[in-house]
Amino acid sequence: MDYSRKKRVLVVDDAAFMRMMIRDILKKNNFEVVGEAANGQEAIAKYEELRPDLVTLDITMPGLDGVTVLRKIRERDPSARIVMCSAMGQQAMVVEAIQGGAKDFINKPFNPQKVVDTLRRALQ
Amino acid sequence: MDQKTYLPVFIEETKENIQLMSENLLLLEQHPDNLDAINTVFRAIHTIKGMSATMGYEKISQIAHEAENYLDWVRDGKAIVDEQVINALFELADEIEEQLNSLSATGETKETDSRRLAVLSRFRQDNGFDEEEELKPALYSIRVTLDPDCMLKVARMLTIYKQVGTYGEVQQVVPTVAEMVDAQTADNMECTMVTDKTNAIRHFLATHGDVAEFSIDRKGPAPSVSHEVDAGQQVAEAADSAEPVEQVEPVQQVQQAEPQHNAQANAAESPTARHSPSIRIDTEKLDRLLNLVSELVINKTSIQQQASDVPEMSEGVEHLNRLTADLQETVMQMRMIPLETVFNRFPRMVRDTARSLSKSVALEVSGAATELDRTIIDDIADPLVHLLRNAIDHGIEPADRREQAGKPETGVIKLQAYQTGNRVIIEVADDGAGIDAELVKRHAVARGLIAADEQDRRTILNCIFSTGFSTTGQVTDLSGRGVGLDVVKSSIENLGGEVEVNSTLGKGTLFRISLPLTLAIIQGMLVQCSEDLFVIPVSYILETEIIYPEEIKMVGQQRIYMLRGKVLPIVYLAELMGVEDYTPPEELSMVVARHGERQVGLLVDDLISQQEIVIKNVAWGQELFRDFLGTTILGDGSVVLIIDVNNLLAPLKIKEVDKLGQSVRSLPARQ
Amino acid sequence: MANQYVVFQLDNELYGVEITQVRTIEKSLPLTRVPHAPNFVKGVCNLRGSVIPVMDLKKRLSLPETPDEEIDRIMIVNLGRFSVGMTIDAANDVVTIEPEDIEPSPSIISGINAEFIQGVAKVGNRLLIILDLQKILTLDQIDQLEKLN
Repeated sequence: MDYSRKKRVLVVDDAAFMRMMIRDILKKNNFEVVGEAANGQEAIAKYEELRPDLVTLDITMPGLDGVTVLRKIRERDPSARIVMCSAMGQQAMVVEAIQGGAKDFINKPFNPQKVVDTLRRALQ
Repeated sequence: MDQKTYLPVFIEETKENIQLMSENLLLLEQHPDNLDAINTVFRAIHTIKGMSATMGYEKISQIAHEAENYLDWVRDGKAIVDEQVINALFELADEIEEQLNSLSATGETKETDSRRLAVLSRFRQDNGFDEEEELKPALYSIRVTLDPDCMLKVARMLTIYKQVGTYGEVQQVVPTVAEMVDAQTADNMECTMVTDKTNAIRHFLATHGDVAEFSIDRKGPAPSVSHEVDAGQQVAEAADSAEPVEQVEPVQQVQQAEPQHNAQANAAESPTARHSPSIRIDTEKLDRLLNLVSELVINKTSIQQQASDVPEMSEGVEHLNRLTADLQETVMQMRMIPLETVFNRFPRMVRDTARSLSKSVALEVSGAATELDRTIIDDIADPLVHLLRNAIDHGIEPADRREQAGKPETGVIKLQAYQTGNRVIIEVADDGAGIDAELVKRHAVARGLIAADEQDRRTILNCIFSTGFSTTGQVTDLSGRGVGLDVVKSSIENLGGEVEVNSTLGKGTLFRISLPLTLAIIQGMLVQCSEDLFVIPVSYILETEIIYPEEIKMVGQQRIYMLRGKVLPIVYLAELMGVEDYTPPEELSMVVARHGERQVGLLVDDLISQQEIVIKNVAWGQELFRDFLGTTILGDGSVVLIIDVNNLLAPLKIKEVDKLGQSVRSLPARQ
Repeated sequence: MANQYVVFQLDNELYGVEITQVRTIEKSLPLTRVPHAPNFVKGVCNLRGSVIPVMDLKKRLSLPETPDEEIDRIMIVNLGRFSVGMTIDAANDVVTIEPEDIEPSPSIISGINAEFIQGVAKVGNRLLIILDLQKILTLDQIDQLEKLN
């Protein structure tokens, strides 16, 4: 992996608490959180604006759900690297997201080490 | 999320890819060095392979794999594309298509026809490719077991599978993705793949927190697909070199390096690439929507009539009118599909037919983007196939005869479609031997179809559409054009269409089909005639006129009317409709209708209104309704028949009137 | 297996058709005549939004004409994809008949084209003529008929 530059991450989650958690985990592990979005529309706009190396995308959000946002971002940038955030019991949606081009997924509640492993893997 | 959900999409997309493959194979046949075509075929087959492997249809992916391997050598310049190879690839395309048909019919793949697969294997052996194993990729079995504590195992296994897949070329995965999804869990997976990146795979799996155990075992050299039945064995025993997934990349490089080919390549990517964003709709739902709109139109008409006395409602009714019209238009638009969907299969069909007859025939297609209502599209394919086959079989002469006639060796069939007004014209023209009108005439006169003194060339030629015209042995002498043409004619007429033929002996033959754009809703004129009501489609109507019985003249047996100095043959519609003891009213309405290329005045008692007519077909007894395009239900619930002007007037031999008309015209015209 | 038959009357005879082939029996519906159709085609009617042809069953079976032409009932039968109406005098009953109780059509039933009859069965002390709808509605039969005319 290229460690010479901090990887730029956009964090998308409707819950401010979850965004904070992810941000903390990432900061401690040498990622740069370049932006946060609380809903799908915002996520798409921020993605266009920031062109991050990676997006963590909550799968259930009010309004546009994660799978739809994934599609829309990948329509704009087919090389977008997106990792879904999901809770237990959302397997079908996660499978759909992966078939829709998501690189990987992390499950809530977050295990910091697994989150970091997953994101590193997704950036390879 | 189970496999059944994907199956229709899989079948459809695979068919599209087969179509793409066929189109480009035909191109290759003309230009064996067309790199774009090779690449397009390669991409199509590669996509088929990937999709079918994902769906767990090994038989299909193996067939695709075989084709892909061969093409790869072609791209590397190790093998050539000749007629035999193209034939073999067509066979593989057919085999895949049959597998798909089997899938749609039974949900299962069928036994692979091993002879088809054998052909390419033999070329490969003949060319000595089997010894040329200079590439390192080999066949590996990769087994993965997930950590029991791992959550969302199916999704996890899927990401692992996807990642591993990027390191090589997956031949088989157990369980398949669909099986995992069905089972809701996935502890183990075995992936059989061709790869030369085992280190990367090892690194990926070893560092993955959710992987409890894994193994990577070499199973043998990278396989080619043989035609044995068992997939596992096959993979193991086959011995050949194949380059995995990166094969796609050179394609892209070629495109980038040669921008001038880019546009072509993109265009060749039809039909999938060209479509605007779309969803697939069950045609039954579409039909139902149309039915509902039809009901709405009937209801609207009824409301409109009842509201005509209530001025306060006029604005609302007007709005309803506009909305219904828009809705109807939109639904009709939704039902329009391009003829392309039918035309696409013709190049292959023409090629095969010509080949089987040892003839050289080129098909030139134009206007494939012309759109028609789905119901018409569905039913136009068979008549067209028939006309094309006839053109190849009986129209285009054998090479030696063409040479004698001073024609190029390759016969040309032009298939052309275009829209004119609210009709679509499809023409099938060949530059073959043409039809001997004299022979047709003799034959037709003998069968009592026409009078012995018939002179009209068109009338004579069109006798070939008559039922039973072709059933005698003489037909072969008439270049056999009669075979089944009565069936062609009746199928086209059932669609509200017309077909006619023109031909010049020695030069070629032209069949012209004219079809309505849509079937279901038409503009119609409601007319009263004695006690009956009828609808005359507005598309037939040129103008209407009030006339008086004393203005009607007789020429021989034919009534005529002088319309602006021209002779117009006229008929009482009531008489045509078998009304006995008909007494015309003192003031008549005349509908001037188009009848082929002629005009005829239809006299009716009254014109009631022009309105939108929803055609309701009667399912039983088509033969009884020959003179009618169908029926419609009026706002008051009554049923009215829609007149098919051409069929109704056909037995009247109105043409006789033309001659009479000329004689009248030669008299001093008086009004 | 025993089949159920709808029994109806035409003149004074009893006829039966398999109940599975009968869609509904309607009181008379307004008919629109079809010019140039054979005489046994009485017209077309609007059955809840579908246009359905109606056959004059007496004429179809070549029964002698009766002076009063008033239609009592139209029996809508289903065959394959289509529905056809047939004029009948009255529908009486539904009866169950064992297949072995159906005898092949004797040629003695006067006037009726034997081809249209599947067989006869005894119901109480009366004879029930079981019609072969397939044949009655098959159009090449009609073509032949037209040719005869």
